[in-house]
Amino acid sequence: MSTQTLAGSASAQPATSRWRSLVTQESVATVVVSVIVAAAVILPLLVLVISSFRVLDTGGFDSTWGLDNYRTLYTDRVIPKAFVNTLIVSAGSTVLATFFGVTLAWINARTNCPGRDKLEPYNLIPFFLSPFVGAIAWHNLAGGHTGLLNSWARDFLGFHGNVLNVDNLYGVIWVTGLFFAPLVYLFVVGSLRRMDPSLEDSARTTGAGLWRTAMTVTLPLVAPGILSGAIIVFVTSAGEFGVPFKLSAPYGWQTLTTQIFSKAVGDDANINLGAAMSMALGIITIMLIWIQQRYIAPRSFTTVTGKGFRPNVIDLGRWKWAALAYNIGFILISVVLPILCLLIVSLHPVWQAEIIPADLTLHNYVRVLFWWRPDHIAAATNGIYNSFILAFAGATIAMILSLVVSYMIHRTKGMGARLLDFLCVVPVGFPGIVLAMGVLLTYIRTPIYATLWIILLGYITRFFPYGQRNISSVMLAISEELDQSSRMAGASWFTTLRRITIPLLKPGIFAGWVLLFIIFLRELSISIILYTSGTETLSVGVYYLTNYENETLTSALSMAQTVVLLICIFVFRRVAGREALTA
Amino acid sequence: MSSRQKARAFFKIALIAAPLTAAVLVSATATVKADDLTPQEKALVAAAKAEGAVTVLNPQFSDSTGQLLGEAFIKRYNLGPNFKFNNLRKGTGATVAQTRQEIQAGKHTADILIVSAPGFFDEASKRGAFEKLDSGYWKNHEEGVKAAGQYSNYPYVVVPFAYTFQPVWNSSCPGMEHFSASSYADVLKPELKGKTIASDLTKSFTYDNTALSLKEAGMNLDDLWTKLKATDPLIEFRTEAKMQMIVSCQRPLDMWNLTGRVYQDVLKKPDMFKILKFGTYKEGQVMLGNQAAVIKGAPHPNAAKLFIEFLLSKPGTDIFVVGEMMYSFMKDYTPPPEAQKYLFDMKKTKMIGLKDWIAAQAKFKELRADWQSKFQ
Amino acid sequence: MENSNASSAYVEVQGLVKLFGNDRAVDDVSFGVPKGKFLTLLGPSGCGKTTTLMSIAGLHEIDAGSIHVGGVVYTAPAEGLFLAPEKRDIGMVFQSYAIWPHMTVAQNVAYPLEIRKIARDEIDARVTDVLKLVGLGKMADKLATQLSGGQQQRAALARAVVSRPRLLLFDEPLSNLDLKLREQMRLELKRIQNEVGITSIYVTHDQAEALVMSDEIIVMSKGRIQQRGGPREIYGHPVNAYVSDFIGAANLLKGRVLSVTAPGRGDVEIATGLRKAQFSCKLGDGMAAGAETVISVRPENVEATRMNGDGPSLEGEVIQAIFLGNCIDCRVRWGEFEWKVMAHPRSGFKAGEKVYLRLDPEHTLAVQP
Repeated sequence: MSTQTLAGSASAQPATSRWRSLVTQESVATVVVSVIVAAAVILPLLVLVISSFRVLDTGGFDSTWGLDNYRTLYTDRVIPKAFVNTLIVSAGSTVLATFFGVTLAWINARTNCPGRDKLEPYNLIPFFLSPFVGAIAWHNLAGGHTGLLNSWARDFLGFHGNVLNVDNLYGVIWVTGLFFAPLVYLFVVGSLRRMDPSLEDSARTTGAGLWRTAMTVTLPLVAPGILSGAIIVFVTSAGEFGVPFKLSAPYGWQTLTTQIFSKAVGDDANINLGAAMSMALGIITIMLIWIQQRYIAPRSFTTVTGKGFRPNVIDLGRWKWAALAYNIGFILISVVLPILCLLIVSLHPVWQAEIIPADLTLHNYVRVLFWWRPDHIAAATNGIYNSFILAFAGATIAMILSLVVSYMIHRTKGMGARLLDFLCVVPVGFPGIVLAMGVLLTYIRTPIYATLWIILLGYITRFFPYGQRNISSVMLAISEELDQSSRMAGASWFTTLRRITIPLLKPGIFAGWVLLFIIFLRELSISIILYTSGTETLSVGVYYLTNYENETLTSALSMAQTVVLLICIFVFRRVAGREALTA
Repeated sequence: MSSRQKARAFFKIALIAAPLTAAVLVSATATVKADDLTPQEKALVAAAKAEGAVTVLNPQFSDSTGQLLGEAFIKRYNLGPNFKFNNLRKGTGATVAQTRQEIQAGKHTADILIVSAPGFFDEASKRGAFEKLDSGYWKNHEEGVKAAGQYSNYPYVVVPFAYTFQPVWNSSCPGMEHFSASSYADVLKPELKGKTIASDLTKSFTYDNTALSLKEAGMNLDDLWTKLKATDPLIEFRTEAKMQMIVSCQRPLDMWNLTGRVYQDVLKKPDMFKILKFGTYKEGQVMLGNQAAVIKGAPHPNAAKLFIEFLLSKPGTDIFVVGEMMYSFMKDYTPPPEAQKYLFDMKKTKMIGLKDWIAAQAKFKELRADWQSKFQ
Repeated sequence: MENSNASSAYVEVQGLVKLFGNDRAVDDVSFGVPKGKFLTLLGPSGCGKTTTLMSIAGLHEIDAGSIHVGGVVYTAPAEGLFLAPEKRDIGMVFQSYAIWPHMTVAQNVAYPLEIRKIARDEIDARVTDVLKLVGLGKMADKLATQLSGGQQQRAALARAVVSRPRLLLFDEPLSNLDLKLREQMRLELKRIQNEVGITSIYVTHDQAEALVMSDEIIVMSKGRIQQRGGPREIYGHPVNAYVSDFIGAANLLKGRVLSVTAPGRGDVEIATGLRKAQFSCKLGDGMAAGAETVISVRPENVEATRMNGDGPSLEGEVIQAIFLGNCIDCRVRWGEFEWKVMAHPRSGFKAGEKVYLRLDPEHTLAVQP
């Protein structure tokens, strides 16, 4: 064997020494990607910043440099109030979502609530549905006189007037909190599950009871997870457009997002003022996200040991049935009830706040789904088609981008990696509607304007960090040595990527793809700024119907969108297993 | 037949009837021979056909109306089966915003803009943003448009139609059985407390213009707002949403709504015609003329000009009048029978506008602030 | 103790410097490895041994110096030369084994051959051979995740040698194994390396491992080489207190060289608290009269008796005596110093007894502090 060794090593004799190459496969790919990401993310924001310093004159065409837009932010009659409303809504939603998220997570991860394994996927559903559709459903459930629940309360329980009213800020808080509760849930349940039980055991052995242990050991350890979730919910609520648009803005309570929308495409369109407002909103949300990423998220890994184990489970005794009821109640209220309401309303030709069996018809579905019929509504049928295309193409492109970006952040060192890390946080911090305005202003002179491409660009720019985070979390768990050993075995950077890194990242890639697919399918804020006839998306279709047609048609399309999303969730969960769809 | 089947049947009939009626009208005009077209139309046809498409940006035309207009347009001028007619429907603000952006960027996807926004059209035409029109039909409209106090700016800006806000109510709601309205006093009675809607002036110029026009005609707005406020109205600005409130009895009376919306609901459920009622204001109906213009630099200028001609012609007018229940200022024009149920007789109704729509814009801020201080 | 003749070294590292920020992780390290030999880089974490290894592998770039292997320049930043790691023909065994979980053992081992585009049947034959060599003959089709730690280690080794590279690098491969397995694997690794005869550089912090496996050891600390030599030399003749302390157990006391009595021998004085003693012992390199020094003597070379005999002795008190079976591990207080002494198992020392300590002059060293 030893003689063979010497002779046999002829296979790997480099002919000459190679010059240290600046142009390696790796460096080319990373530079190209950095440029693309920087252009996609920074450019629109830069354009927005510049626009905010240009003040529109009364004619509406010319603008001059000035700070008036920022002055208007606090002198205008409506804008400061909108700002306050945004804070109220965000704070309220955060509290509500945190309450639901933490309690459900605790029940699911730490108690002997019966059937909790089966319940988990249902707890997550609200996050994947469209909050805009949720607002529409709740408007029909509890929006003043026309609310189904109010109507039933009057008919069956003898109430007078309206028991519930969601057509106000409270309604916005309710719907937003309900739909974002799964975000907090995911952060907290992950934290609870990864926790080393010996941390609690050691407290118990010193004599601390269940409650004390939970308060003094468990809670502080989970606190980073709760805080992370809360911040994410706060930021997402601040940037949420569809819910306040439906439930509060029409009745006088504006939020920053509805005001920005109004400044972009309302009667008083003033895109420069809208840009200034976007800056105000964006800076706050970016700061919060940055804090969350930098200081809070890393701390939640302190309990990870990598060994699998079962954490402590608390026996609730007879209270376990109450926990089950609570969990089922949450699912009923957040998922079943709204869907039921949409179904009921959608079967009527005209909604008169009560079920009229004689009127029930499927005609609304025909009009929004059957594109070959003469009485179809183009915005709706286009919407389904376009949204699917955008979702497929967008998720795929975004995941490819995320892959390279994640690789750069976690496997290369130096300035480029840190810059990219920061760039990945930025889009999450800016509301969709803000980014879309920037994209519009930046690309209006290019051929992609008024096509599906500009919407695709908006989607990918705004949401690729979600995909990137999925990959990153898997990548962090994969030791760098797995890549290094491939290099030492003789494989080039690209071959290593292809044969080792990507196959190992498959779960993260798939999970990210699915998440993005679903997000794109239900996206509203970006589409609504960038669409034109022929490029409507599903949510734009719903928006169109709610503006120009009536509640019943709106409900029909909303129902269709919800059904599609539900199918996606379940099919993908089936195919990908339990770990998919954990954001 | 059960009532449900009856309703279904009527529904199907109504749904077929509308396009059928239109088809009849269209085929009537389809037999139009080349000599029936005006020289201006003839001059544009070949170029329009070559261009192959046209995009109309507007807040008015629903899907069905858009479809009918498209089909009739293509048929009338024989533009061929490959001609694409795009009806891009966006809100009043959005249509103006998009056009403005496209003009500033020099990038045009919409050929025609039709919306009630005199201020914008004035400003834009001063900047030379519109194509010069040579219209054979405009002269039929000019007089009526002026008489109704509407803004136009031929040869750049024409007014093919107008809509107006009328009182609409649901007579099947409790307390509304004997209600009727023919004056502003009728819709502001104290007994109507909890039954009214206040249209949000800060959200749409059309409400602002309506208010200013009434003021110019002598109405005391302070008084109007105070009385309205006393009825504890619900604030909303989207016409469709307000119609929903009427239909569901949440707020059975809206003083400023469109009969066109009533028509849409009747199409969906014919019984609605019995319960949804509307009136006209003797103080005057403020006509909100929709300006139309062809954008300079648009991809299909000739098709666009031809479409404007079509809108100004009788066959074209018939279609959107029936489809959306709007008013045409064409001389000696009688709306088709289907529409007459929803349109008041223009000869017998007092129609008002504004002397200077452009100057009125300067008054918006004060008007809105005033309204806001009372209602918000 | 000499460095290998530079021109005959197969692996030639010259003046290697690697900076992380302002930290000199490797500070001017030079050594050569003769062909076929097994060199160990030994030291605590942070001493620069792994960084040196990574630099040879090409997974780190260096700031100064050069690395040549088999006459080929691997890296020489001064001349702008850098050979990509995949072109260096090196087999590397990582601390975490780095066995790819999505492939079988055979696929893992075949990987380097596939990259080199060798014919399929030759790949199969070589894979089978090498798996037999490492004792995993029957595990070829198992998924990597089904292997135990020791088996994964063998698989990693198989993968490293299958392509008959010119150099083998080991990065603390046994530190994740439990004690018994570690001892067993040390011998296994050595056997296999002997059989394939590939030049090897091995990094570890475990001095016992280094002593068992290496042809030569380089002890490193804070980025620099402290001493280089064979196992016996390093053990028996440490050049300074650091090496003494690192390899094996040692008693270390500060002292002074009084005089040089013969080449490599001299008289020294040690002091602690109020106690002083003088005696003769071996002198390390560079120990001249008057020099500050550290006396190093291993516990097995300290004799403890109850009666005082001839010659210099230190009087102390036993503060701890633990019976270990083959000896008694004693701690004897002398002044402020605690001597570690290996006493005979039947000596019966107990805590509290007064004893006299005698240092074996042949095995007592005065070294650099």
